[in-house]
Amino acid sequence: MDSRWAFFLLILHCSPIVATAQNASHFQLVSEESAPYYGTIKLTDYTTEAEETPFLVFPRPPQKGDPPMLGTFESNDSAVYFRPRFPFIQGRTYWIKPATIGRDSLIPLNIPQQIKLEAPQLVSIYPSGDSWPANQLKFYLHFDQPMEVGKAMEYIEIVDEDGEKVKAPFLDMGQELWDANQEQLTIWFDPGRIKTGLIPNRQYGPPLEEGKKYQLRIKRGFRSITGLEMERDRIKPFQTSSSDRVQPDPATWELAIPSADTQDPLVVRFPEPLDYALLKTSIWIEDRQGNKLAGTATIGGNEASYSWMPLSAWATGTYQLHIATDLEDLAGNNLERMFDAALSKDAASSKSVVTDIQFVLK
Amino acid sequence: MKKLSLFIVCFIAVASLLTASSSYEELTKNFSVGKVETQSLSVMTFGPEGILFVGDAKGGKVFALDLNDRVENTATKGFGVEDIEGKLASLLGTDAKGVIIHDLAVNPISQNIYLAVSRSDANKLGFWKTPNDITNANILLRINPKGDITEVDLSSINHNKANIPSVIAEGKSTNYRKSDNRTDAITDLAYDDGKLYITGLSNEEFASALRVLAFPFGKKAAYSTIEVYHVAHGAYETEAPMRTLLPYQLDGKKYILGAYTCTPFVSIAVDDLSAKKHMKTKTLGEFGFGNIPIDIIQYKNKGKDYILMSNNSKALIRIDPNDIPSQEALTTPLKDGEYAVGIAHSVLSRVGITQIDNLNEKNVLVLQRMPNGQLNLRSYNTDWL
Repeated sequence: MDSRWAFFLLILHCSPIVATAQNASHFQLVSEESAPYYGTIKLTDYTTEAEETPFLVFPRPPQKGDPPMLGTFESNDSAVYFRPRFPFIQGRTYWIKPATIGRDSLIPLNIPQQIKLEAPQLVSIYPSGDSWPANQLKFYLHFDQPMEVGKAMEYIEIVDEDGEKVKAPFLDMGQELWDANQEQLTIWFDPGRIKTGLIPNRQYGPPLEEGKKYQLRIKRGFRSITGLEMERDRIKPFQTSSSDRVQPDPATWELAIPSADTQDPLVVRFPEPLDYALLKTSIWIEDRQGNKLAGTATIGGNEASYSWMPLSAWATGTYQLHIATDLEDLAGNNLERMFDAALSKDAASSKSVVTDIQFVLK
Repeated sequence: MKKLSLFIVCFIAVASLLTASSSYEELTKNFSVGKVETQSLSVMTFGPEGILFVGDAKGGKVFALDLNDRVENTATKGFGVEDIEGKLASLLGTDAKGVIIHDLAVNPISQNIYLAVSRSDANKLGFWKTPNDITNANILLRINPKGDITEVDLSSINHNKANIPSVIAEGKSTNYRKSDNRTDAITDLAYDDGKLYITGLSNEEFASALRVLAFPFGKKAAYSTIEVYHVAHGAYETEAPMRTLLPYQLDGKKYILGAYTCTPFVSIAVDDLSAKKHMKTKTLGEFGFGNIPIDIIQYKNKGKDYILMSNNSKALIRIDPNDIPSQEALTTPLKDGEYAVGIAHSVLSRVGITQIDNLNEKNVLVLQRMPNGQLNLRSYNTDWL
């Protein structure tokens, strides 16, 4: 065949079916503020009469037999949008295969990471008050992002009045107690040293002594899962009161009862701070028939009060505040038993436990 | 989990000609079009007329989906897709290690293959961690005989549903797999002659249960709690669920054949099921501990009936049904040096097979993990099994 003819045929073969050829600049990743991920690929400057799919998307350069990603195409004016059936994965490169250029041309599209790339911060420490009983059982640390698991003990210490580190105050469980998001950590003081009469208690004494000043230190360098480190030490000073060997008793609580037809909160005041985490799950409001009511609970300062606001205005009638018996004070004493009860005796207290407080709205 | 045998297909085909009650119109008259509110596509099996039964362990329900897939395909060809996980990953926008296949069922009418799938981390799977232990399947895919893969739109489909009575509660884990007990609420289901048999755990004192649900749905499911003599443990047990089951007819009488983890193989007479609230199964054989049965089907090899069972570790087990009637119940503990006891069984040299189902008269479809780590969807000619 004459070479001129070959050239001509080649041009014919390559002439685009659609009016506009597409290149990388025509593809753009668009995100919606409401969506937690980058959702959609937008193709601009697209004009065609053909009904064919304008482009295909693959999570890897397609191998033989790879089907394109599931998703839907929508078009308006001169743009086509592709929304994948399942969200694009952050940090991954996807491959766009336009319909209008050569078979092997692929346009890479990077989905950026949206994880937080700021140094982690310790948001709060519970108990939030600065007076802890000497037999304080545990405390909670809340961070602003998921933290690295397994190194916490290197960054948490308690220092006494002389600036000496308290030796081995915490329970070594082998596994750290993080919540599912890895943002909240629970640390237990060593219960073997708190419980009077146990061997660690007799040998080393309790971790905290009564009437002393201490500092809880969470040291800089504690890493989040992104590898970034806490930039500053966080120091929480506290002083110890005498050991708490009294169980919480709802009969001693004070209730401020709201008026009917308002959405004012029911406020409950406790004579001592209670455990922050258990307060969130152990108290609720029931109607007369025992149905749990929907509302918003707020834990007050020093964890010494609790307020509860109904979703809709209070109706007149009888209600009850229900308290689960596992609710604890700071020393781990719950409604039913004292944490530090002699093991030889029946640990359960003999008096009956108040778990429901009735109140009437007029 | 699917094992709608050719025998049953033929039976249904004949029955549907004879009686109006099992026509497509009759079977789907209580159905309505809408979103299928499943929480987990845990297990699947085909019924008549292209109706797919889905056991939803998390939701404690069974769904009957009219897939509108009733064009008959009588071909006896084999089928294969290499690296099926890679293909599914491409479709779902992730890696091959980012998809999990939870169950497989073949529509005996059209030979379309259905997969229950999740986009989740397959690295979490383990010897004792099954797909349903990791996460809930929420994607139903169809593969046609040409190999095209499409999603079945569950947001609008003709369907019906039924509750499973007394399902075990969520939130506790008392099994050795350290999985939520609810995962085992429905471990398998099988359809036979207007009835759906559903195994799994109940909230009864004896947790292991076999429920019988009439189809079309309407009546409440009947259920019996069942116990099994486990030779290796030397004890009757009621806590573990049957993992896979197969309705089977022997000498004119109907039985449920089933298998448990570690691997008792048992029979239950269907007549006893309706009569008794709690019953002992008959342990026909025990095929060895450290093994989880996955699927059980029946098929014909050169005209002769066999039962085929896939497992997580003991390759493919083949049983000759003729050995069942004469097998005495096993009731004494395993002796020193014994491993597998009771009914004769062959272990076929086809390793890495997880899910199986009848593809057509001449082929059994399997999911098979190859030595290079790739998962293939392929068929084996029944004459070679």
